[in-house]
Amino acid sequence: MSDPRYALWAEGIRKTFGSTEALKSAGVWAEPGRVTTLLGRNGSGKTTLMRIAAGLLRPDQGVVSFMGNAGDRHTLARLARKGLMYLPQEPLGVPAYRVSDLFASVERTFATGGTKEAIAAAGLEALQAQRVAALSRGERVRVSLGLALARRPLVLIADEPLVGLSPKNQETVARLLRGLCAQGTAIVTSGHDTHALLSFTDVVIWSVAGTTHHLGSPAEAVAHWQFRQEYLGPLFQVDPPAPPEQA
Amino acid sequence: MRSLPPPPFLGPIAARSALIWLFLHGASLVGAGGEDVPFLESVVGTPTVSVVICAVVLVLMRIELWRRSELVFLANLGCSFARVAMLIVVECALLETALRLTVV
Repeated sequence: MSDPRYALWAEGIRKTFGSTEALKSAGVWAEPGRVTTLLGRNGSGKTTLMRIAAGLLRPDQGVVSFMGNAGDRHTLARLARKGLMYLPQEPLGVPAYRVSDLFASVERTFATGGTKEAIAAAGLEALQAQRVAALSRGERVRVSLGLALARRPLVLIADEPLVGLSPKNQETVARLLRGLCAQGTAIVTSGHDTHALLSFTDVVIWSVAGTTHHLGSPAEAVAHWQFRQEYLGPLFQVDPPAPPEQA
Repeated sequence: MRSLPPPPFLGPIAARSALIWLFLHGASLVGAGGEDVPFLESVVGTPTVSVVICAVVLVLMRIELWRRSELVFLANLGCSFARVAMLIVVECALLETALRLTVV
């Protein structure tokens, strides 16, 4: 049974690939105007769960509900028409096309009227004429998020958006995601850059051994002893150490 | 909202499909060259050959779109591969018709 508070609701998800059980009973929920982050070790099933929630994979069992509409025929294209956007680990964007072409296609399709602001917010003015193939990873991630800003989705699923980015670029991504949140978008994200992710997350879900556990706010997650022990590790510090004072 | 790939995707998808179709017809013509098939028949091919060529175009285009990261991008625009496939099938049918009208 889906909860009307949530724009996206996936529950009891089971998925096997051959003899490998990727997910046993997992779930993820996304609330408008909030960032939900899936954290968990490599191979814990985060990407599989996100791909199922985005309609790219079909679960063996379980329910995915989008905007209160549960169904087993969810595909990314269908969900996208209703307001979902999915950003895969590899930044979204077609290498052969110019940045401006991609924004134009979003504007033509959804007519949100927010393209100019999105390009400015993502700092892409100077890159518009360039082909995506010529951009660095950081720039391509900014293009992805700029497209999401232009699209103004109801739900954004961003799989590991911070991977491979410098701290400064991570800050930019965090700012762009918070900007989308402020527009009311429900965001689901994941990754391993824990400090950066927790800085803009509202809700943490722990993905472990094919299941998921709702841990609450970042502060509650960090205080969860088992999560600390099994995922964060003993060296994790809530606040990074202060730089040494100059003599 | 459009259900077909929006510009600038539509033109290149149609062009690439047409190129693959042309290449496959060329290959079938070369393949039929060694056999005792009348020239016109070998150019046009049988209906079965047309269907097989269309199916191969679909498979190759799916691989090509996936390789170029266009599948997920188009899906995010609400355009599934099924819609692209419809476009390709219609295009192949038109090309087959044009070929028959031209050659026969």
